[in-house]
Amino acid sequence: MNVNLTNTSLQQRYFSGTNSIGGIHLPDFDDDYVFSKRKSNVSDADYKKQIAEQAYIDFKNGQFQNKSDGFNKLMKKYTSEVSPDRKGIIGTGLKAISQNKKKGLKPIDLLATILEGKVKYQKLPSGQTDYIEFYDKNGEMVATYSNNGWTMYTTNAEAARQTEMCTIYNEAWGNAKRGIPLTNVDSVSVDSSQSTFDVQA
Amino acid sequence: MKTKSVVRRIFAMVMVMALMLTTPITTFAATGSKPYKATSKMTIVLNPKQRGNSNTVSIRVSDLPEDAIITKLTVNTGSMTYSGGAIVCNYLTISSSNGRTEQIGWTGQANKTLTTSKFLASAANGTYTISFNATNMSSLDIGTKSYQPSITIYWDDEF
Repeated sequence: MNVNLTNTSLQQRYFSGTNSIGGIHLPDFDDDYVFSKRKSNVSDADYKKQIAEQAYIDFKNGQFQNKSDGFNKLMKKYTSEVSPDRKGIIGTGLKAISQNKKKGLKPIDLLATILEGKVKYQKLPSGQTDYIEFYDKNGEMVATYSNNGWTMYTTNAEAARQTEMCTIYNEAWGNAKRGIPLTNVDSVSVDSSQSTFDVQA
Repeated sequence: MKTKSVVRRIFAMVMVMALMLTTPITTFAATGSKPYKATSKMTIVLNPKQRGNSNTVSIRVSDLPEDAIITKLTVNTGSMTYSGGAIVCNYLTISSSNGRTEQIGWTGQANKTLTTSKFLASAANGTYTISFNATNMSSLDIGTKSYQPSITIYWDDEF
């Protein structure tokens, strides 16, 4: 799949090479910044080790946080553990809208409850783009489609997870900066089990 | 003779002060805060009863230390202009190029400072994108609303 991204901003992004439902191109779920639920068997301790190692590699290369491809890939993997099922919510939501358009039952607005959450659709006058909001089971808005583009909203659980990863990474980066060998980085003080963040999916 | 000595002393003091003022001072700040203003406006045009998102504005931040991280990030909604309709704002959206996007409830006040909560510990340098969501409550008139926002980044590079 050849995905073309015409907007480098993380809001109202247009993905032209992806599949479409009801005439709307789906987001690219392989994109570094489009997260959807994906559980792995990686333990917290292994993640912590990977994050610290990544910080040392990045420090050596002079690439802090998201300037590093390795950091971005690890962030996607780490965050997706608690992400909502955006792929399912968006796919099912767009299908519900498409079916509703075909039936012509509710030509103005639509609020549909889907298995993974709910979708709100506002039909606009002819010639204007659709406006759609997608919500997860917790009632958090996880994405919008407007002005022909996609915006993915970071959920509370994802934000907590991202902050957690950055805290581990930053401390390891600081240790690398101070010349402390990686072997001693296992002792970084951030203990994810004691985090005050709620990281439930 | 005494006068000459006093003049010399004053001259020496002036020279020292001039030297102090002109010598470049190298600082190694570990924390700080800095405001950045968008150079364009975010604008929305809505038909009666329509809801939608404005265009986006971008703010590029590249002058902070390479490994500066965010300890606090605020958005000021800036000056407002409007015409027609009855546009009510629902929320403001801010994204950073480090992959986080947050919506903050806001009913449309100009120059209102909103505090984010989802950017902590992420890289401070990057591109920030802002837009807002609104509804035109009027059943008759098209409405337009614009804001020129700014952000303030509180950062730290000692960890």
